[in-house]
Amino acid sequence: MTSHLLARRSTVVGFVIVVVLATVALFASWLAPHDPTLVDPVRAFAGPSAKHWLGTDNLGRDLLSRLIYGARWSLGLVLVATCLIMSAGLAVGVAAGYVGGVVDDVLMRLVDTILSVPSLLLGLAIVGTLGPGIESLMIGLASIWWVSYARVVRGLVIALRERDFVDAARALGATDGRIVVRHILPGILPAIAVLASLEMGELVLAISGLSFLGLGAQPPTPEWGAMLNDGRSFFFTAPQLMLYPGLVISVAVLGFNLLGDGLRDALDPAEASPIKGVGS
Amino acid sequence: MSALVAASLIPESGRMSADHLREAASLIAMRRIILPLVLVGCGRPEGDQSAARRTLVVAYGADEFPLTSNRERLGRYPLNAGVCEPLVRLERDFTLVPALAARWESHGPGAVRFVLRSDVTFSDGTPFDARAVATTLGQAARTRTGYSFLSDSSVRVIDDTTLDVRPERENRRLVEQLVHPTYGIFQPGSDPARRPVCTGPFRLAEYVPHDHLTVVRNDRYRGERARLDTVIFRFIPDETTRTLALRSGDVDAIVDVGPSNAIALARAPGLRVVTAPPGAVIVMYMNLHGAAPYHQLRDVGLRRAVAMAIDRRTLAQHVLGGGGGAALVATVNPPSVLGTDAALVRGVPYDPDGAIRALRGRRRALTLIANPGAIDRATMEYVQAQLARVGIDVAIEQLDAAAFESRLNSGAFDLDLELPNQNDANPAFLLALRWYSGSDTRSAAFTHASPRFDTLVEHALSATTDDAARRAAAEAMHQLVDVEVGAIPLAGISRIYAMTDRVRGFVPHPSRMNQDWSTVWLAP
Amino acid sequence: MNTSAWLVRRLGGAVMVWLLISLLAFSLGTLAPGDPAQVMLLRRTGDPPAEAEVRQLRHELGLDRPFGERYVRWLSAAIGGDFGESYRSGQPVLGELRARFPATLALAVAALAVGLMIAVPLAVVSAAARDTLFDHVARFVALAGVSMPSYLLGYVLMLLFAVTLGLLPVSGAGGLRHLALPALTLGLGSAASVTRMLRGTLLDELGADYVRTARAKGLSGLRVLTRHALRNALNPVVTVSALRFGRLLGEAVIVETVFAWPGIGRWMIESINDRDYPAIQGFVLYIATVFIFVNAAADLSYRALDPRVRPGLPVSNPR
Repeated sequence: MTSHLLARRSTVVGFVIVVVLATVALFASWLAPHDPTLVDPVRAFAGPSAKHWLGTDNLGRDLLSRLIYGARWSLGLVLVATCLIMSAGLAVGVAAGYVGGVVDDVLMRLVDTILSVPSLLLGLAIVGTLGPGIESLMIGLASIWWVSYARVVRGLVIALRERDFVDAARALGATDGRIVVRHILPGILPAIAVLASLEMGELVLAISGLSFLGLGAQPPTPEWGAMLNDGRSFFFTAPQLMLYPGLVISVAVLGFNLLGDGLRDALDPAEASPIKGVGS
Repeated sequence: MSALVAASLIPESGRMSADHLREAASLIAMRRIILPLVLVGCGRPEGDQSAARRTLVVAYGADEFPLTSNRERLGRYPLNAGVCEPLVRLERDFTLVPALAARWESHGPGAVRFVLRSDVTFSDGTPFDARAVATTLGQAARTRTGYSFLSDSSVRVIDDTTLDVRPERENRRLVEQLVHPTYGIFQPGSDPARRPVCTGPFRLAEYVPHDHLTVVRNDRYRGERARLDTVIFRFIPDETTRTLALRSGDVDAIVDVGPSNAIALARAPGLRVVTAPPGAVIVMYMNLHGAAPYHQLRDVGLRRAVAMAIDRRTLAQHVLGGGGGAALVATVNPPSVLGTDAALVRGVPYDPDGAIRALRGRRRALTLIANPGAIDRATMEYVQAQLARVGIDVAIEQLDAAAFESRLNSGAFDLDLELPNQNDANPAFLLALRWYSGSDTRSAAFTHASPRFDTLVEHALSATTDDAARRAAAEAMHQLVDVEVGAIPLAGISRIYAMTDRVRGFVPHPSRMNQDWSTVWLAP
Repeated sequence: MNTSAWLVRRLGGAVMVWLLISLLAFSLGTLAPGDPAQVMLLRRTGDPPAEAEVRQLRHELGLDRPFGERYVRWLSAAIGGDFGESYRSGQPVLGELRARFPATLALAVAALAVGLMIAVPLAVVSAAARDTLFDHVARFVALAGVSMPSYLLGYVLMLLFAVTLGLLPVSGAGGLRHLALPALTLGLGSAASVTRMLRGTLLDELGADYVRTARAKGLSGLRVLTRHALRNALNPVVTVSALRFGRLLGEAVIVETVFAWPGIGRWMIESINDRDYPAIQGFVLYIATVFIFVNAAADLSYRALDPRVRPGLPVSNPR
C-alpha cells in the first residue's frame, strides 16, 4: 500500500502540507516571532518588513505570528473535534454493526434523523443556541459529524463479523469485547484513517466558517476563520488581512483533501469509493 | 450544449491534441463569459432619468425601530427621517432655535409657556395646535422615552396656540431637552408606531422593517420645501457591505464610515467623504451597582485601575485615527457643549504601572458589552489588550441591538462601551440620562453615580443661565470622571459620511439624530 | 416486497425521522441559556421583571409543565402550522420562513445550474484529454475550488465584478443581476466537486465494454459520448447532486450573509445573533420537513421510474 501512496505525487504533497502545518501548530511558540495578541496601534497596517515579515493588522499585531498561532488553534480545534467525533462514531457504529437487531434499527434511525437536516445548518442551530465560544463549537460539531463515521464503521463491522476468524475466535471462547477489540477494530482502522483525513478538511472549513459568522473563536483568539471575520471591515484598505488567513485555510484544506484522496485510492483503487463524509 | 461542442472536437483516437484543446477552450469560454456579460449589460434598465435625479438613497446601519424602547417613535428616533419636528431645533453649534414653537418663556415656578406657530398644518392637511403637542408630550411621558420628569398631568392647554408645561420635578433644562427628536410632534389621530403624521419637510411613505424606510416630500411644509422628491433610507448593518454599495452606485450616500474605510473612500474617484463636527464621545460605562458576578466594579480602586490602563491618546490617534474622525477628550460630551468649563474635567492619566500596582498581583476577569454598529471592533480589542497587559482579562460579548439592550437593562455586564450622542442643547443631558439616580432610563439603575453627583446634576438642571448650567455640568462631570471614576471617556468622535459627487447641499450636523436631509439635492 | 408494503415502510420511516428531528428542534429551546419568560418580559417592557411576573408568564406560557407535555403542545401546534412567534419581530415564524425560503431556493437552484454548466464541459474535456496538462490543471483547479472557503471566494468575486468592473450590484435582492454574484460564488464550489465526480464516472464509462463495442462498430466518438457514456455517467452524479443540495443550502447561509441576500440563511444568522429561539427551532423543523419530504418523493420517483431497482433484490449492473 505504501508504494501506492508514494506513487501519487499529489498524495505526497498533501502529506507534506499536513505535516508542515502540524509542526507549525506544535512549535508555534518557538516559531512565532512575536506575541500574537500584542497590540501596537502606532504600527497598524504596516507592510512587510524585516520585523514583521507579513506586516501587521489593524491593531499592529504581527500577521505572521497570528497565522502561526492560528495553526495551533484551527488545527487543534480540528483535532479535538475529530477525537470527539471518532469516539462517538466508533461507539455507535460498532454497537449497531456488531449487536445488530433493535439496537441497530434505533441507532440508524438516529443517524437518519441527524442527516435529515443539512449538517451545517443543524450545526449552526446548535452552536447558535449554545452561544458563541469554543466549547459550544466543539459540542455542536461533535453532535452532528459523527454520523458518517458511524455509518461506515457499521458497514465494515457487519462485513467483518461474518468472517471466519471471528467464528474461530468465538469457538475458542473469546468474549464479544475481546473479539471487537482484537479482531474487528484493526480491520476498520484503515478506512477510519481515510475518512478522518477527508473529514478533517471539511472540519477546517466548518470551524472557520462558524468563526467567520462570529460563533466560534472569540477575539482576540487568532483562529484563521476569526481572522477572516476581523479582516472584513478592512477589505478595501488592507485586503491582505483577509487574503492571508483565507489562503492558509485553503492550503490546509487542500492538503487534507489530497492526503485523503490518496489514502482512499490506495485503499480501494478499483471502486469509486463509497466512503463519503457528512459534508459531501 | 457545451458538452456537444466539446464532444464534437474529440477525434476518433480519443486523445486530444493541443489544437483541439484550444478550440474547445475558446468555444466554451465564449459561451461562459460573453453570453452572461451580454445578458447583464442588456439587463441594465434605462429608466426614468429625471425621477432618479430626485430620489436619494441613503444607507444607514441596522434598523433599530423594532426595538422595544423605540416602538412608539417611528420616523423620529433613532433614524430621524425628517418626518416630524419638535418644538425647538438644535443648531450645529448646540444652540436652540425655534421650530414649531414661535417663542417660550418661563411662566410661574417650574413651568414653561410655549406659544406655537399659527401657520403650520400636518402633512395630511389637519391643523396643528396645542392639543397635538399635549398628546405628544403625554405619550412621551407614558412610554418613558425621556428623562424630563414629564407626566400625564404636566401639560396644560391654554388655547389653540398656547400651552404650559410643568415637569413633576424642577427641570430648567426642559426646553433644551425638547429639542430631542423623540419629542417630534405627531398628529393625535395618527399612529406613532406605524404611520405617524407630522409636520416636517417629508412624510412617511413606506417602512419595511430591517429593509428600508421611504419618505416623500411634504408639499404642505411650512418652510422651504425639500428639493428631493423621495428619500429612501436603507438598512445595511454591515459596514463593508454599505461601503461596497456606495462604491458600486447602489446607494448615493452612507453614514457611519469607519476611519480606515474613510481614507480609502476619500481617494476613490467620484466619491467624497464629509466629516461632521464632533458630536459624540466613546464612553465606557461601568456597572457600579451590579449583583454577583457583575459586582467587581463597585470597587473604585478597580475602576481607577481600568482607567489608568488605557492609553487614550494612542486609541484616538492610531486605532481610530485617520480621516480626522477621532480626538483625545476628557469629557463625556463633546467639549464644545461645555465651552471653556470643559477644562475642569481632566480625565484619569495613563499609568499602566500604577494600574498593575493597584491590582496587587491578582488577575481579574470582567465582561465587556458594546453597542453593536456604534463601536469599532478594533476599539474593543484594543481596550481588551490594554487591560490584559495590566492583569485584567476581558471577555468581549458580541451582541445584537436587542440583546445589548437586555443585558444593559438587567445589569448583566461589567464594562459597557457606547457612543452616546449629544442630541439636545442641555450640557447636563448625558449626565442626567445615565448617571443621575433620578433618571427614567433603565440602565441608570446600574450606572448611576453617588448622591454627591446627583446634587451637582440637579444644580446643572436648575441653573437659571446658560453659563451657570455649563459650569455646574462641568463640575458634575469632574466629580464623575475624575473623583469617582464612574465613567471613562475614551475618544471624541466625529461622524463620517460618504457620498457620491452628485449629492449636493449636505450639511453635516454634529448630532446624528438631527441630521437634516431636506437641504440635499442631486446634480444631474 | 411489493410496492405498497415498501411504500408503507418508507413513509413510516420518514414520519419517525420527522418526529425525532422535531424532538431535537424542540430540545434546542431547553439548551438555550436563560429563562424564556424573563427574556420576553425584558424585551417587552425593557424593565428587569419582578419574580412574580416571571412566574405568572411561565405559567401562562405553560413553561412550568413537564418537558413531555410541552413538547406535545409545541408539536401539535407546529403540525397545525403554528411554529410560534419570533422574539424579534413578533410575527409568526412560519410566515417569515415561507417568505424567505423562495429566495434561498432560487439561489441554490441557480448555483446548481451554474455548477453544472461549468462542470459538465470541464469534466468531459478533462476525461477525454486524460492525463494531459489540461487534465492535471483542471483537476487541480477543481480540488482548489473545493478547498477554498466560500466566503473568501465571495469577497474576491465581489471585489472583481462589482467594484472593479462595476458590472454587477454588490448586494441585496432584485432580479437576475443581484443573483449573479451569490450564485456564482456558491456555484463555483459546487462545480468543483461535480467536476471531480463526473470526471471519475466518465472515465469509468469510457473504459467499459459497451463503449469499445460501439466504437468498433464505427460509431463516432461524439455519439458514443453523448448518447451513452455521458448519460450513464451523469446518473450517479445527479443522485449525489440531490444529496449535495443539502450541503449547498448550508453554504448558502454564509454566501447570503456576505451578499446580503434576503434568504432563509441570513435570517437564521440574524435569529441566532438575536437569540430568537422560537425562530431557530422553527427553522430546524422547517428545513427538516422540506428535506424529509423531498427525499421521500425522490425515492418514490426513483422507484417508479426504474422498476428494476427493488429493495431486497440485487441491484442489476446497467453495464
